[in-house]
Amino acid sequence: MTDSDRDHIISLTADYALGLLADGERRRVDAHVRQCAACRAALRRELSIEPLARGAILQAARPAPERLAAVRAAVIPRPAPRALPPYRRLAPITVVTVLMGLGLLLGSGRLPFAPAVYADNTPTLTVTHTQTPTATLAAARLEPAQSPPAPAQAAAPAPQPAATSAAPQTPETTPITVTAAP
Amino acid sequence: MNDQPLLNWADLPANDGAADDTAGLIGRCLSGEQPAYVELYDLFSGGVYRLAYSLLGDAQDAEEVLQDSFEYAFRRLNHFDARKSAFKTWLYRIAVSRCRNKRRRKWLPSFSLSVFDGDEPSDPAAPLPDERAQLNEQQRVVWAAVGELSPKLREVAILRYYAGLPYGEIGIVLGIPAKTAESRMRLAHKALRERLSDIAGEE
Ligand SMILES: [Zn+2]
Repeated sequence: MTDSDRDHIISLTADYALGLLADGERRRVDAHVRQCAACRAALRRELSIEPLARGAILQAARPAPERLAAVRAAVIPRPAPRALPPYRRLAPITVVTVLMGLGLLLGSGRLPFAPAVYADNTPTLTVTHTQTPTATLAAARLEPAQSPPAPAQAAAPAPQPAATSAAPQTPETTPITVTAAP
Repeated sequence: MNDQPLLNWADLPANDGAADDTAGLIGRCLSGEQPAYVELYDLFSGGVYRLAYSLLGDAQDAEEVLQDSFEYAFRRLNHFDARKSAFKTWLYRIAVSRCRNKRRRKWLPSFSLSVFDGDEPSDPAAPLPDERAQLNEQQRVVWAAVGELSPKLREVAILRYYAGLPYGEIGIVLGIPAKTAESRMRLAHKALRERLSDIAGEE
């Protein structure tokens, strides 16, 4: 064996350890190191790097089991709420929509039982801020328009007087004032 | 880095047998089985954490990457394509991307893992962090040497030495051609061999 042969084999030992040699080259290195102690030692050095590195990484970067568990609790998707059929899931939206619609209709006086004075006098709503944001409808004080009530008012169930008289005048429920302008 | 053509998906090595189990697990996840998510997490979370910790050198950062990666992976599980890569490769790619973002945000272009030489506590009685207390002398030297690699070389070294990925898959994880992964690995290996000359090859 010549010196250049040995050099050539030594230059292959790193690639051998890294799994970068073709089968033929690999067999050549195998055959050579069986009879050459220097190349055998060189190959052993190259082959020792991977287990050293893996051992250090496994030990140094070892996760704490309780931390893995904590992250697991955060990332596992919650089961989808499949028990409710579609109409049940839509129920809250429906209720809110109906209530909003009802409120709008009441406010515009287009409901059959709404005070007719609204419809006839094209009311302007003046909403005064109250101290109680959750002021109820009963707290609304209606200031009737100057013009006489329209004939249609008689037909309506007319909750208007009740609303006006029932408006509590306590200081803590300063009412929403609804002014119907002509 | 991106001026070279990326590895063709067709060049990927065939997935091994473990991939079949993972595919079944992913299928169960997608059909809404919560225990399957737990199983999938338990199978891969340790690897993702070790990868992140090895790249960032900080337990809290590694934990954030772990959480972020799995949240993303579970949310996008239906986008995973087993014909293109192993699940581990796909997951590690997600994790490496987050590690890089974290490193950029922290302005740590070449931070070192070598927590053992620079900031030893002045009080010898001071308690060591868990991971330091667990290492023997040889492991400390090796871990410090890994930490001294540049981020690019360290990425390849961790994916090869620890995760045992073939170079094609390392290329996919890092977004580089397989040949680039190989040449970086040669450099990383050479650097480690030189730094570890005192202990390399010892019986
Ligand atoms: Zn030789």
